[in-house]
Amino acid sequence: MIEQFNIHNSGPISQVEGRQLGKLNLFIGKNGCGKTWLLKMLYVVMRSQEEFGRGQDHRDFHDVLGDKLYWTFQSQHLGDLVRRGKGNRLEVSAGMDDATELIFGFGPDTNKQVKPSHNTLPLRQDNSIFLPPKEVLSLWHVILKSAVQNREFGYDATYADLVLALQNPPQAGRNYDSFAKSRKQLEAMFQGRVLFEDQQWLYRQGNSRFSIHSTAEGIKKIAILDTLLGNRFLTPGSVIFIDEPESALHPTAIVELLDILHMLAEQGMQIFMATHSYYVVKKMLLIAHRNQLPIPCFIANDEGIWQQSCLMRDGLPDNDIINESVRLFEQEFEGI
Amino acid sequence: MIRVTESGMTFGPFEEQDLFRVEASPFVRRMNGIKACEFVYWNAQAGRLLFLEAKSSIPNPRKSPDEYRIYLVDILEKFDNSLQLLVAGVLRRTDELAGELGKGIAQTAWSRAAILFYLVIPDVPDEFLLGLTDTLRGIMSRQRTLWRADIFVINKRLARKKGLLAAPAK
Repeated sequence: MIEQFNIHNSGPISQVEGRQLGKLNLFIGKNGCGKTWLLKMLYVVMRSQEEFGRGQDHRDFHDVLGDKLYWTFQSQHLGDLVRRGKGNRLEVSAGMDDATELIFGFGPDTNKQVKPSHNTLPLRQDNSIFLPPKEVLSLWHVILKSAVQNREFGYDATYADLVLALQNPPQAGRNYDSFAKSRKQLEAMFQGRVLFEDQQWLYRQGNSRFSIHSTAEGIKKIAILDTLLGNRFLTPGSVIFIDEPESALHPTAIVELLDILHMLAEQGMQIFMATHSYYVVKKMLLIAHRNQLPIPCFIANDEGIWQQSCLMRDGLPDNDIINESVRLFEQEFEGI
Repeated sequence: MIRVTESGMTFGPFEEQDLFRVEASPFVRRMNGIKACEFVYWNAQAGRLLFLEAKSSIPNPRKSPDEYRIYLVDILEKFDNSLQLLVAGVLRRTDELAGELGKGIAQTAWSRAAILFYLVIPDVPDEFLLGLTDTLRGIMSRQRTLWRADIFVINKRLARKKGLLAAPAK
């Protein structure tokens, strides 16, 4: 689990410092403020640790890290990830709950090599995953061909990793209790299950099977999480990065999904979410209060500097998601 | 001109002839136990008929769900009874009630009036107003449909912005 991080001069981010991170963590802010970027940077840290030394992969850690940065941000020169500004240098440090740490940084002239200045991260067996706003089930073969076979830019590593993770076959036997419960709730939400059969994804409802292409976007989105729990790609030690959990979902489904994510967090998973949604923000606030759970909430200002607060202790920070709903209400009231 | 002080707020000033102080009405007081809102105000110029109820606070729905439900039903009753009382007076079903209505409010242009129900809770944070309004609109859906009325839960800031609150004493 990531316990703290510092990121400076990375893309749209000027400075963000996370301390005492929780099992649930929330990033909010306007379009272009760097929410997805921040999720991706933390994903790169986690996946580099997880991919390093796995199986017969003999790459050095710095090669794994460089590759992950390259394929996740898809920039020809890693130096392009450095925030524009004279003398700027990208700096990332991430500390884990076992007191291990990774620190790396590079300047705008860096091409591909990134050597960490400090790395005590141990080998890691758990898997982390990035869930993008769009589902991948209907485009899995396109993503595989483009990102894995042809090694082309387009679908970044978050998509390719997800497609590969989904193809792990379902595992028989007893699953973690709360995973089994979560899966039941997820499957109740979309009243079915998705299956990978004969090199295609299908949606099964009762005895009927439907093409994944004619299945609703929201169902596919929920099915992805269900599948990753069912094939045991995700374990209690996993870190899940979710970009816009609200996309393609009805407000009721958003709220149900967040309850399930909270259940998974109680089992041990760490979850980072970036959102624009009124419902996500409100529901997270409720989860924080009801469970006396300190949920760190990060919000960016226009200069790319992020502030951390605690939903349970400080309530919601002043933010445009809530402010816009207030503005709309006032406009409606004023119009009468 | 009349000012009405309720729940720590002073509303007005209103022309006496345009105001029906429902809760303080002698007729209503004699009807033991009938719930009514603070006042109804007819703004002929704007074509607005405003039913206003002021409350100093609202129960926490999480900590006291029953109290919260009762509170909202109570508001519904107050608004619904007040509407009936006003109509009964305007239509002179009860001479006493009709006699309490000023000349202005007795001539409400019912067919074109915008009928509005405002629940004013002075210190509710802005971000809760939309949710509370939607909840009360759900409870008062019959009144909304039948009378083509609209409902708002507002705080002191919005009440002042709307010109409903008297200027603070200097």
